[in-house]
Amino acid sequence: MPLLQPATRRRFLSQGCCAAAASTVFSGFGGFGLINALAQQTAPDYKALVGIFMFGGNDGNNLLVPLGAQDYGAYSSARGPLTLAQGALLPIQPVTAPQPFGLHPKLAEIRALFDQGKAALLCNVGLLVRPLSRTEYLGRTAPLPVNLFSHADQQAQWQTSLPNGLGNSGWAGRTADQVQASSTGFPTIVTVAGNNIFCVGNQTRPASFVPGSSAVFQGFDSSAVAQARLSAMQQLLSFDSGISLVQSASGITGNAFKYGQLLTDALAGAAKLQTVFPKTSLGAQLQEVANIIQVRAALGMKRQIFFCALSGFDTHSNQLPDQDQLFSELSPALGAFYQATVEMGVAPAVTSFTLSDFGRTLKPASGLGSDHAWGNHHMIVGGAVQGGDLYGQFPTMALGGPNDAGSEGRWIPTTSLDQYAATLASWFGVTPASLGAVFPNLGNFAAPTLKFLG
Amino acid sequence: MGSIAPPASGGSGSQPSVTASDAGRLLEQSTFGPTPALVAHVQKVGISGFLDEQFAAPPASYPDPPDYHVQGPVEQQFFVNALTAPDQLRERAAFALSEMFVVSSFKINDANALLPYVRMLQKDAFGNYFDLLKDVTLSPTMGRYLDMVNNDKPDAARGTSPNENYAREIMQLFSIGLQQLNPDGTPKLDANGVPIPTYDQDTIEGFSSTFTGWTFPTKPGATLARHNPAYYNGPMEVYASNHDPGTKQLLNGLVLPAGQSPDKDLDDALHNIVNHPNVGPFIGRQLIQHLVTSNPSSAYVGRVSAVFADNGAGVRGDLQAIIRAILTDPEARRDTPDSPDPNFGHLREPALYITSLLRALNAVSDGVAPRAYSARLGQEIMHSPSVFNFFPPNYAIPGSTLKGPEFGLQDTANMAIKANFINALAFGSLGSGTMADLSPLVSAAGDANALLDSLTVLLLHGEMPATMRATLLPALTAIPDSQPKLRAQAAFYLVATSSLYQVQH
Repeated sequence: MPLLQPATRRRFLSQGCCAAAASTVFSGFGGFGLINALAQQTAPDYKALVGIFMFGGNDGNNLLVPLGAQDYGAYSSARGPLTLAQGALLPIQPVTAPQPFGLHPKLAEIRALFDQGKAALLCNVGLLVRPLSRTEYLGRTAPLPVNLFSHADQQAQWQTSLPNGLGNSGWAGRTADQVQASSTGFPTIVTVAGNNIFCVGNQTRPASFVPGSSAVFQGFDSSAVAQARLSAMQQLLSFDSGISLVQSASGITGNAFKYGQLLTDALAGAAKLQTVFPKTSLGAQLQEVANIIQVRAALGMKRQIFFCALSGFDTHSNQLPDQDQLFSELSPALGAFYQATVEMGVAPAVTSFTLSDFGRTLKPASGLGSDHAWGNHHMIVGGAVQGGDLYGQFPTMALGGPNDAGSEGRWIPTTSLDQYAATLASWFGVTPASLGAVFPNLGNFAAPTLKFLG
Repeated sequence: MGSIAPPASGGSGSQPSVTASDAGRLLEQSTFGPTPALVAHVQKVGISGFLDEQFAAPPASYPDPPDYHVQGPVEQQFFVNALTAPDQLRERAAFALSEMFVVSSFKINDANALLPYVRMLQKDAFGNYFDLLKDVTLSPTMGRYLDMVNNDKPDAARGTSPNENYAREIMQLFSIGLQQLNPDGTPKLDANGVPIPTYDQDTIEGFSSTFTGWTFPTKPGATLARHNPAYYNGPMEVYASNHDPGTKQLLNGLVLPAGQSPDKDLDDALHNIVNHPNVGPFIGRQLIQHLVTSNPSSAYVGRVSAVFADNGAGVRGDLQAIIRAILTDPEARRDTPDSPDPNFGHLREPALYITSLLRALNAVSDGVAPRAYSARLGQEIMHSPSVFNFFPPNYAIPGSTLKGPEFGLQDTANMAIKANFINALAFGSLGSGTMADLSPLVSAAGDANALLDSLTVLLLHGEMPATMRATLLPALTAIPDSQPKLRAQAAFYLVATSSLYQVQH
């Protein structure tokens, strides 16, 4: 088993062959003058985190596959009909790994970014209360995340980083609580994929936008009667009806007025980005995020967190074609988004990363799928990423082996979400002293942060 | 709450014990929205009489679409039925069940599969929970959605295990949930104050073995095979030699012996689930949330759960009795007006919000516009993003200790879309297929107070706080008397977008 300890890292420099591949992928873009113009406008202090949640539980065992002969043999023997052919995988050579790995065939853009040192992978990361061995798990002698393997619970815990299942705030929300608010009242967090606890802090509340939908309340012209109606509508929001849920709804409506107008005004004068995004759900979401980042100065933002999502990863059956399709949406969208950050001159200030309910069993289930599992591999993309490498510890490809929670290949995580998220939050600006307030269990792990961000 | 303006009108029915407000609230809970005619009818026949009628009404039709594989017509028919079908309670209950026993066109893009499932829920909504659970389990639509269809016994040669998908979700979502519950829905706690799980991974694997061997129904003229081709008419069938013959660890220590027939295994397993003490509070609470209130008291859940356990005639799982208990409960009927529960009510989910407004305006629709607007609001009907529905029953409202399942779809983006839907409905058009009628409001609009009286009856079961009325009046009197249509449109916009209307209470 290749152990990838978070030892001293150095930035990976892309090699000739890989740079060529990258230029193929991104050959559609040529606006370098614009880049420079925009770069000069860039506020000196700006950072953004962009989380992409793969709902359903991505099968990480086919995201990243070891290509060393022995490890690939172990993988294919356990994976059976879900095995990806060695020749189809996109080979990568992580800086610190003794042997090559393969990325899923549909992750061409991720592979190019990895080769350029702009993408990294974190191996076998998941929910943990504290470090956990197979023996401890099997003997139930250590505290465990609540309701392991349940979608709803593990989705929520990936968003809260509270594996005890309690709490009404997400780790992005608590991270946003820690940073300076905007100068306009525009919120630090924006979701373009609906409500999620990820975005809710103790004080922080997100704005939500639907790509392609008007965020302003239509029908209010400047006439006196329209303004009287608008005024009545807004006054109604502050009344105490005596019904709690009515007050909750009014709070959201009030924010909708405010945030919709702020964004619409800010976008009104913005030039159109030249980067072409795929015409997919995730493509549209990330394009919306890029559009909002482009007007960060008008919105008065120094720090922003965005939430995007792609659904359909619960591949209990038809794993191979379904994951092909999902990654065919994910990878080009992420590639375009990275390119848009280059176009805007903010590539080193924007870090994208993936989240998901859980990994899936290495052992296949009836129906050519895989079942709910635990630890998983995740992608981190951006100009600040110490890319071209794997972080964490790649699990031993053995059913019933040292990383397995049972006999189906459910990896007990060797890196906690707390460490993954604290690394992102720390880069974003949460001070070491405040990390514990955002991630209450972080102290249970020897290294509070990892080295994948510079 | 501030003082209440008196209802402008009310039925003078033969049962004065049902006020117009009571009738309106009951209809909000039991239909896709009150209409003046139905309010008068409930006042006439009484609440119990209305429920009797509704339980006796046959299911509304879901015709076969012209092209059997195209789903649009089926989804539009959902809205047509919601707007106009006489069996309102059955349609509303079936809708609630469809959000608890979820299948979704995101995985099964085929009307051929969807229609039998929709019709099954209509039929089973007033039946017994055991039959519902068995029908759901053997539905080839659910079989395909959660992979019980063609679920093979363990295959050592291919290295595959039985599929765990249906085994997991039938327990987590369709019956007992994750934590052991008291009859009143509160969690049981261990000596350390920690909730007690209802099952573990061994139980999941026991049920996943139980659910092996079933395949699509055999098409007419074909012969049963281990993996029949996709076909959705009738229940799944068993191919006995593909059933795992081993022992199965089920709930509460039950172990099925090796070598039972697949049918016997299935029947034993479903009884094992249905007889679990969690089912009453788990299912009862969710039905209460869908129909009446997001945060029912434990006493309310307890009363409904007792009816689940025994309908009074010794029958467990009588859904008709459970629905009646939910709708006639003192908490649903708000029988303590002097000490109103501030946490009562629930946010109207998009489909319900749309249908309620259209019914109030006596709309005629082909279903196209309601379907499209519901989708824009995050509720593309029959397209739940996952088996976990459009929103979870335990969604916690940010900054509140309350649950608000439907708030899972209520964010700043959706609120703007919702208001813009009302803008189109009030001032413009939803398209040629949906015609709403504002003329009764326009007729009343010569007098702004009379207009608000009409809207109060139409949308707020006769109760508008005085503060709300005082705020709305200046916006309406700013519009000249000579423009009654504009005044009616403005008034409708303001009440329909108000939080007080959005929250059914």
